[in-house]
Parts: sequence; C-alpha cells; structure tokens
Amino acid sequence: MIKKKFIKIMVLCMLPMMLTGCWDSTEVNSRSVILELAIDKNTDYKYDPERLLDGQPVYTISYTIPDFGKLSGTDSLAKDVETNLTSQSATIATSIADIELRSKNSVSFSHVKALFLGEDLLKDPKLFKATLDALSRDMLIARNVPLLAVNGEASTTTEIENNEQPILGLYIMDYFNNKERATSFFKKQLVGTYIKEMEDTGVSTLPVFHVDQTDKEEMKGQIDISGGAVIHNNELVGYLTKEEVRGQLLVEGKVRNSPVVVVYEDNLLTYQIKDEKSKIKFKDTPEGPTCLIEMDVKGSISEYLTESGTNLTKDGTIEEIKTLLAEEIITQVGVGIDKSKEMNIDFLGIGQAMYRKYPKMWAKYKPGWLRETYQNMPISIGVNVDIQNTGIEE
Amino acid sequence: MYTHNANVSIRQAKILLILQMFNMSMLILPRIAGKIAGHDGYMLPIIGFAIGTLYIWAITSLLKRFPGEGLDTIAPKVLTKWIGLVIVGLYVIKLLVGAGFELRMFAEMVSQVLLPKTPLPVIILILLFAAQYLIKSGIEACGRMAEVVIYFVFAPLVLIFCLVIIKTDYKQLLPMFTARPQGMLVGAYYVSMTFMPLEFLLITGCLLNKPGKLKSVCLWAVGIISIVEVILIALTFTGVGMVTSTKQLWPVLTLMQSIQLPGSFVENQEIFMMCWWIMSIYMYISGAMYVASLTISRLVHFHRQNVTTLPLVPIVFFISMIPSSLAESYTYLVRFNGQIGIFFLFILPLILLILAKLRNLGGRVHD
Repeated sequence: MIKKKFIKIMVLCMLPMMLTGCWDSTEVNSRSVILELAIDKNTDYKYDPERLLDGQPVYTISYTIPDFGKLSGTDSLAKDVETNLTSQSATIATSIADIELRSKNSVSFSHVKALFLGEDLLKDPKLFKATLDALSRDMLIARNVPLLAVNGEASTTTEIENNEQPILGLYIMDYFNNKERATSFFKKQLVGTYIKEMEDTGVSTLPVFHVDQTDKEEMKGQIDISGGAVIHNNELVGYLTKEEVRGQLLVEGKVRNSPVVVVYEDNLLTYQIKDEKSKIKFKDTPEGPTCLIEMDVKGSISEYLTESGTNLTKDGTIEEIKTLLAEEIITQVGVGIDKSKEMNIDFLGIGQAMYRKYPKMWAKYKPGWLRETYQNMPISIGVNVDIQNTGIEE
Repeated sequence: MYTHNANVSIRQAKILLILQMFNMSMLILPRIAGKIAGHDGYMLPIIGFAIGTLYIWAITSLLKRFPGEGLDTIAPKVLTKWIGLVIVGLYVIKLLVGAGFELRMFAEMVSQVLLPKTPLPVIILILLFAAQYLIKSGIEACGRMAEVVIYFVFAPLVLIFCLVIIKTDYKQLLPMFTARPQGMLVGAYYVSMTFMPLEFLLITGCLLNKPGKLKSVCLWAVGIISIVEVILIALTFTGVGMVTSTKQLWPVLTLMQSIQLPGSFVENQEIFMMCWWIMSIYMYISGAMYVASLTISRLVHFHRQNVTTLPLVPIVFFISMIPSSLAESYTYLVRFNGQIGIFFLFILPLILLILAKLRNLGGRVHD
C-alpha cells in the first residue's frame, strides 16, 4: 500500500517535467520577438527568370529585433538596444526563413506592436491584399495590432531615433493605448478592423506615419502620426489631412478631447469636446436621397480671454457661443465631406449607414452610388452643442 | 466506490449537459449563422431553442413512459428484439463517429493555435486516454468533474463577454430582419444540432437521482446554451464583422484574438481561452464515450460495466483519423451532424413513443 502510494507520488512529481512539451517546447532565449514590422514593395524588382520563384525579391521587409537585456537596463552583450534586419523576398514566409538564416534565434510575431506599410505597397492592391492574407491566414500576427501607412518607404521608420522610446513598436503601443489622448487628427486602425471594413464596404483609412525622406537628420526624435491614407479595394487612392480626418471622425461620432476654436467678441475662445455622438438620417425624395447628420457635442470652455468683462455664465452669452461653435463644427465636418466627394470615395461611411438603417433604400441606390448618387446627394449637418462648464472663472 | 450504478444530482446533470453542448460547434456557429441568415444570424438560437424543446419533449416523453430504462431496453421492447438491437448498435456507432469527428476538429484547432508541431495522433490519443480515465469511474465522477470544470470554462467566457460588450460596434448587427424565413428555419435547424448531447439522455436519463426532473434539467441546459449562443454570435458579428465571420473557419477564435485587454497587460490571450475550451470538449468526448461504453456493456450484460471503455479508444482514434485535412474534417463534422443528428435526437424517440402508445407498452404517462 505504501509502495503504491510512493509510486503515485513519484509519478505526480515527474509529470510537471512533461508539461514543457515535447515537439512544441521552445526556449524563450532562442526566440527573437519582433516588435515592429515594416513592409515595402521592392520597386526595383523585375522578374528574374534565372531565379526560383521563392527567390524573387518582391518585398522589402524590415524586422526590428529588440535586445531585452539592454531594454530592461541589465547587462547585455548586444551592441544596441535593437537590431534591424532587412530581407528582400518573394513572400512573408520566405522572408522569415531568410531572417532566421541570418539570426541566431528563431523569429516570433506573437508580440508585434506595430505594422508599417510602405506607400508603394499600398498602391499595389494585389500585393497589399496578399500581404494581409499572409499575416492573418496563419494568425501570424494578432488582429489587434495597429496598422499604419507610411508616406514613403516603411523601412525608413527603422532609422528613426526617438528620445522617449528607442523601440518604435513600443512607442506605437503606448501611443495607441493612451486613452487620454485626443481622438481628432488621426483614426486608429487595427489589422482586424481594417479587414472588417474592407470586407464590409471596400473602404478604409489608415493613420499616416509621416517620414521626411529628404532630411534624415531632421527626422531624429520627431514622430508625426496624423492624417489618413484612404484605401479603396485594397489600393491607396489618396491622403487626408488631419483636418479632413477630423471631419471624418466627427461624422462617425468618435471625436474626443478635441479643441474647437472660435472668435467671440474679437477674442479666441477654445471649446474642448469631451464627447460627441452622431446620427445619420436619410430621406428619399423624387430627386434622390438626402442625408442629415445630427450631432450632439458635449464639452467645456477651456480658454477665453476677455478684457471687456464678458460674463460667460450669462444665458445669452452661452447661446451665442453655442451658435458659433455649432457653425465651426459644421465647417469642420464640411471639410471631410468635401474631400470625400472630391475623391469620390465614401470613407465617411454614409452608404454603409444607409444600408444599415434603410436597406431597401440602399438596394435602390447602391448600383449608382459612387457614379452619381453620392456626388449629388445633399448632406445637411445639424449640431447641438452642450457647454457643460465654463471653467472656474466667469 | 461503486461504478456505473451511481446517480447524478439535478445540478450535476444540468452542468454536464451545458458543458457537453458547449463544444466545437460553438467555434464555427457564427460562420454558419452568418452564411445562412446574414446579419440576423444571432436570432437563430432563439428559433433553435424552440426546435430544441421538441427534441426534449420527444426524449423525455419516451423516458417517462419507460421509467428506469434506456434505449438499450426500450428499442428491443418496442421494435422487436433484433430491430431494436440494430437500432441501438447504430446509436453506438453514431456516438462514436460523432465523437471522432468532433475530436478531430478539436485536434486541428489545438494544432493551429497551441501546438503546431505536435502530431495530431498524439493530441487525439492524450485526450482519449484522459477521457477514458474519467469515464471508467462512472457517471458520478463525470458529474463531479463537471462541477469543477464549469467554472474554468465559463468564468473566462463571461470575462471575454464583458470586455467585448463594452467597446463593440453594435451597428454590425444591422440591418435587422432581412433574412428569408426559409433561411432562418434552416439556420435554426443547424443551430439546434448543438443540442446533440441530449441524445446521451437516451441511455443516461435513468441515472438521474430524480428522473421526474429530467425535462426541467434539459430545458435549463438548452435555455442557457441558447442564450450563450445568441451572445456569442452577436459579439462575433460585432467584433469580427459578419462578412469576415463567414469567411473564417473559427470566427470565435478570431474574436478572442482581436480582444485588446486594458494596458496590454496580457497578450495572446486567445491561447488561455482555448486552454479552457479544451475542458469543455473533454467533457463532450467523455460523455459520448461513456454513453457508448455503457450501452455496449448493458447490451452484452457485462458484470463490470467499465470494461468497454478502453477498447473504444482505438475505435474513436481511427474514426478521428479518417479525414485527411482540416477542410475535410470540417465538412464531415457539419454534414454528419446536419444529416444524421436529427435521427436520434427527435425521429427515433418520436417513432418509439408513437409505437409504444399504439402497442400500449410502457407505464402510464400522467400529464
């Protein structure tokens, strides 16, 4: 009996050793954890018949491999806090094989923090679609990884030296995870959300990571993420300025902590939008559909200087300011709407809103939506501004 | 401790049924719902619940008419001995084949998400031997195991629901009521196939310590699973997108992968969630194998009823190795459940009930 018990205890003690796995056991130290990935189309590529298919350099992919010892401040034999490796390959999978030939470790994408896509890649719809398919089909990277467009070569991002955070991927992670940041001048995009939008409507926008190609010295320490790249059917069709993205976000009801500046009694007044909601309504008329965007904006006055003793807390004053703010917000929304019509791409999601709420109306107008309906559709904007407080001063 | 003659309590029976219904079909349910009913796919489990009540009525009415008995004795009594034995034999084969295909899908999922280099046979055999170890101790052990496992399966699930519900885009569920009624019915039928473990009650229904409560146990379990399915499909549509869900093999897995935990505190959280899912699949496989082994033991009147558990392991293993790829195993599972599932869930119990009433067999049923 005691012998049986002893054997059972011994077996139980031996069991944890088997929990490390046989075929799938991996030493953490043998893995290079990729924190950011920059993918470009190799613009110098021409098909070389003497090379095998998997040797054709279609992509230029840059991998940033951090040294965690240096990052955590402990002693490490590595020279730098990160190592950048670039590979020219036919596919993502072949680039991984190439990188692993040149590194002592195997590569892991399980903690990728940012995915940068170069401008030339974004302009090639087939290659762009193939890139995303390669990354998502085998669940190579998670669907909650931020996706950014680069207005130049994505590999340039690996040369940026930022004073706050040397690893750009970690910078992007902190940047996007910061909930206190204002949502106004760029729209955060994740891999999964991009795929969802592309499959639903064929239109999406990516935040743009600006790189100055002409002056690499100037680039040091400066990171600018603003504006948007408009993607239609997996092809880059144009860029949006940050004001145009703000217009888009206002239509979508996603603006937060954004300042609106108006002139009141010859002085600048700043109103901070805390929360914003929007509803898109439609009406079918004999001339075609009309659209009304109703917005409810809540916020507070954060800056106003007056020497004439204007009391902001007076009813009349508040109403006048509300009117001014509403007009300014309408102008801001109008910037986005004008750009959308100029590009003839419905990146504001107005067609999608019609489909969701009025599917029969959508079925009627869908065939000619971009050809004529969207261009000719009058879009009115109604803004209801709520000034929650004017600060501690009158 | 006695084996195979212990009873399970009402609570254990409810939990067992819930866990058994929460199987691989849940992972692919949003795909099926989206393909058949589009944006209205989340409504299918509601209609599926109504269909499930029919299954419950057929099975519980039959078992109520023959208290203390199971299909192994009812079928030969109602249909004549040899036809009844053939039916019971087919029932056992159906259980084993269903378990085999379910196990294969599970192994493919584990291979893709958790253990890519581990051979499929190893994954399958480990689970089979673990299931055999549980079921050899009888239904009482299964019931007690279920009472522990339920927290590991549903607590993280509730956490995921909470995280997704807060930030999700509910507009993905629009437009509403655009699916064709025929499509909704077909979809609801496929959704009702997730209630397949109800057929286990044809053998184990008499092992409840209060057999009169069987109907309420089943309704509870089916009701809870229907609610979970509605939430799961709706959240998958909102989190991953309806169109994307129809193109993914396991959209629920994609949903788990797309969740962002606050502060990036934990990443690759889908791995943890799949680990917990494994326990649910384990309960389903155990249930199917237990019922099959018990049926065989009763048919051949073995003195020790757990003798048949181990020989079933290679049988289920070989069945699970029949499909040659993931695509094939998915097709086999969906087609098998869709085409064969209804027979033992509803058709056979209904036929037996009608024949028993016509031939005046079984005890009086007090309505």
